Amino acid sequence: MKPRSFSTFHLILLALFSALVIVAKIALRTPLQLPGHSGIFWMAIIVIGAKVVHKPGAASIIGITSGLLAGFLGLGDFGALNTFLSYAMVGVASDLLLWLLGGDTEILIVAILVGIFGHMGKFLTKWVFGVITGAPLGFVALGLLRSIIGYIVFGAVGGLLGWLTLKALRRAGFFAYLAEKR
Amino acid sequence: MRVGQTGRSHRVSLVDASPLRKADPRAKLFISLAVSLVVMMPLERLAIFLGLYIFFLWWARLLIPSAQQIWRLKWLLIVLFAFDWWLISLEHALLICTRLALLTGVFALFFSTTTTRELGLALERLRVPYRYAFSLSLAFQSLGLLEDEWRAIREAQLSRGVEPRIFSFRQLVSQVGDLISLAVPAIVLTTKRAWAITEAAYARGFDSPHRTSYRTLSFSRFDFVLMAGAVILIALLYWRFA
Repeated sequence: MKPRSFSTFHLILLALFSALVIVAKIALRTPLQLPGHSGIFWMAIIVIGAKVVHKPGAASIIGITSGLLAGFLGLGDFGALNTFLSYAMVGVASDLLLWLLGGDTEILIVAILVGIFGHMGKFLTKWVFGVITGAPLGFVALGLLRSIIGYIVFGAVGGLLGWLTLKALRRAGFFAYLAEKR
Repeated sequence: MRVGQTGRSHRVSLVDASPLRKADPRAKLFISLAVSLVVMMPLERLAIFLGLYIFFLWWARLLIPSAQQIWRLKWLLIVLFAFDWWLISLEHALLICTRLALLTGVFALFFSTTTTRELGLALERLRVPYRYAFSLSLAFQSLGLLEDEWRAIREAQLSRGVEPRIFSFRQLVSQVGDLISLAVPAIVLTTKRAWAITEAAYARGFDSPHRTSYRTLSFSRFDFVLMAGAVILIALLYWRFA
């Protein structure tokens, strides 16, 4: 029998992590009025999800599922298509970098880079969306230039938060608990 | 279903009165994607399409959800229109704003008339493995539960004096530790819930090789008419008016 890449438990866990991304996005609103600040929480969840399931494609599944949920909930200002693609790209970009770097988000630098690169995936989607509609590139660049630093910084903080959470989970014996369930 | 706190809520607004509720989700997905491709047409053809599309939305009783989606973009559209008119031309300004408005509102016709269960069934019919389609419905159904858990964790941490107060970037960096006290219990509780759901699913024969769905989707004449209409209209716009 062909081995499955994801067990049912893994898929259910990733689905719940996706829901957690949306809950964190809605429930944890900080008064920071800076572009990309909500990325702190979802990048942290993606970094954690990628380590807990530890299989290629885990971050993409979180991204795609949370994108569909966000679409159904009407999140985002640019319509469901843009929202879905933005969330999905966060997951795909994170997976891509994890594949290149060996996939262990328990290493601090990997977690931070995944946070930055994944969050930049969302930024890239917004940029492409602007280009496709034919909006003047200067206008798009001007608008996005302001947010690019925010995306990088909040992505990095998200990666750091994910890494610290993973460390805390390891100390609490979470991974031993998880190994019993596999 | 309602999700949200801190003064802002997000409600899943399913337009039950819409005739598109009866349509197959695959047909609606097809129409949404087809309309997304139309936005690259030049202004004259786009204007013809827009007129017909607004009539279609009115018939489908989706004019309000689509308009609400575009309304959120009003300031961006105004600024973009003004800049384009000033820097390039009025025609270009109209073209860009029409494209952006169409792309923003187009998927409202899918998401406002489809439930996640129906999307799951559509994915199954599109050969996506059942377990993946199921996990999407599950994620959606878990939103309310996870939100309750999240609120409970937050209140528990508040009672212990842990209250992340993030008003500036400096505060954010110094309070990352407080955010961990929210993230760790959330991850542990989510994992426990995932395990409980997995066991319950297996107990009900979830992984059975001969499982059948209680409800299945099938294309009706209505779906074929919708899809054929979309294809004919787009083909006409591309070739007849070229």
